[in-house]
Amino acid sequence: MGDSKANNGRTLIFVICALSATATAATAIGTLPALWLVLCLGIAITLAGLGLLMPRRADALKEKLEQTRRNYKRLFEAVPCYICVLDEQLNILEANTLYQQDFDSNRGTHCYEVCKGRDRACPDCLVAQTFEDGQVHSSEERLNTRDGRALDLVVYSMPVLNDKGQINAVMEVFTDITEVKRLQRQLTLMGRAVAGMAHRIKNILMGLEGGIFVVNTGMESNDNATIEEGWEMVERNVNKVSRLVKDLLFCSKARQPIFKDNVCPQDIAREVHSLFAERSGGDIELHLDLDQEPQCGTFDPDGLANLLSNLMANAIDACRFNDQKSTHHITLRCRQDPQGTCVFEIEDDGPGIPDDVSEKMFEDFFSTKGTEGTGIGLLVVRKVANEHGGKVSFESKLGSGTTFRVTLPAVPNTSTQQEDS
Amino acid sequence: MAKKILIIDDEKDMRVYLSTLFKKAGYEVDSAVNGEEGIRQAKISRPDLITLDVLMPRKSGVKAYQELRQDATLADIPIVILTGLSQQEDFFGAELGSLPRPQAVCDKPIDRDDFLQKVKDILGD
Repeated sequence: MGDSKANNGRTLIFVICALSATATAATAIGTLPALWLVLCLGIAITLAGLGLLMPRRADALKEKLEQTRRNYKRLFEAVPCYICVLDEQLNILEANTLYQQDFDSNRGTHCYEVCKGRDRACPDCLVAQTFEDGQVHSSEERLNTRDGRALDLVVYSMPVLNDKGQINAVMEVFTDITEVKRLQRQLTLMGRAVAGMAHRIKNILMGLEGGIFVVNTGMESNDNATIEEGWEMVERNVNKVSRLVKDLLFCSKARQPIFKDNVCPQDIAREVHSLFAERSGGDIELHLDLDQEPQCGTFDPDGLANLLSNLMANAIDACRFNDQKSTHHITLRCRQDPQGTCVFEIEDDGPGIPDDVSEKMFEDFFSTKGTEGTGIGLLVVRKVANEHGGKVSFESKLGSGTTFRVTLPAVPNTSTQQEDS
Repeated sequence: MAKKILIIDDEKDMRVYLSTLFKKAGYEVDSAVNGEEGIRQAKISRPDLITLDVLMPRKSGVKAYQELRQDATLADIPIVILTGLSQQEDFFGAELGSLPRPQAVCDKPIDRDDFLQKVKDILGD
């Protein structure tokens, strides 16, 4: 902008100077033919001067145009968003590098093919709306990148106008809000978990309060049986608190696993099985299925006991609240291959897990048990498995049951541990 | 003759607590560990009031409530719902249809004195 003004100024000064010089010379000579001669000479010099200046000015403008183009291109590439420009048939006319990197342009030329792998335009297409009304439109979308990442995006479509103010293209800008969404989800879940936990603690407190009331009532009437019943209530609820606190501690980042050598996973499975066999009612049969040859390895025994306890407790709850059957079977299995890899399986014949639940299953603090659940159980399972460099998976069929599988290498491979969020 | 209260709850702590509370207040008490057993027990003992938990194995509180209300011989027995669900609407959901609502819905954990007073009011004591 500044260069252009300077050039115009210089040209004007030159023209004025040439004409002034001509006029001065003509006046000095004083005769008419000489005046005409000098005037023509002056005009010729002026035109020659202008002719010398114009190509330089055109070059400067051209260079300026190139520079502007380069700046826009740089901006187009530097913005940390996916940008594409589309025609009315939704063909991609231009796209920035980020867009080309993350979305597969081999799928076709249309945006719906490249971004979504669809064979036709999306319903409620923003670009079509912008072509129609010339307005900016926005929506939230979830797209998969070519390397399989699911991204939450805010998409804006805006018109690109020609000199006459007509829409000749529409630009789509996608801003990645995956992390924001994740934090949002986590906050929601955490809020729910805190509320659930408060309720659970209140229930335990009621159990304690009830126990104390029953003990006092027994003491008032010297009724030992009632005192004993009340005291058992107190003990049960103290255990519940201690269990809850233990789970919370297991979930916290502060708790470091304590790996020990020569730990036999079968022994842990046996302990957990007998613990639950004592507690579970007659309608749920617990089975233990172990390898013939136990193998010892390096494990965190407390972590594994907690992991198995949580999976067993979940399986028992699933069966307890299943109205479709009166009796259930739960099998705790432990298998080890010759390399020492250990696979635990907890198989139940309960109601199975609906699809909408299985999608959210490993989300932080997710629970299906309303205020009875804290959503901590599976977090503990995942954390302990990660600490062992292992993994958790499950298979479920509605009406038939669920099998949770935890696969752990014998020696914890710390390099594959995931950071617990 | 003392009035009789039937406690239907799968939590042992709750059964022991409520039973001690009611007995101390002069009521007779029966208890059942799930909805199925509760309905059976109600038919036998004809209680003056039933306290019913919602989340239970072997017939949930909602199903048990529906059956109790639809059984002509039991339909008049006042029912107090005890729920650990955060929203009372969770219990009153569409499943209840046109059936009459319970005499009271109390949140768990209970406030002992309030709860007992509510039960006494319903029983006219």
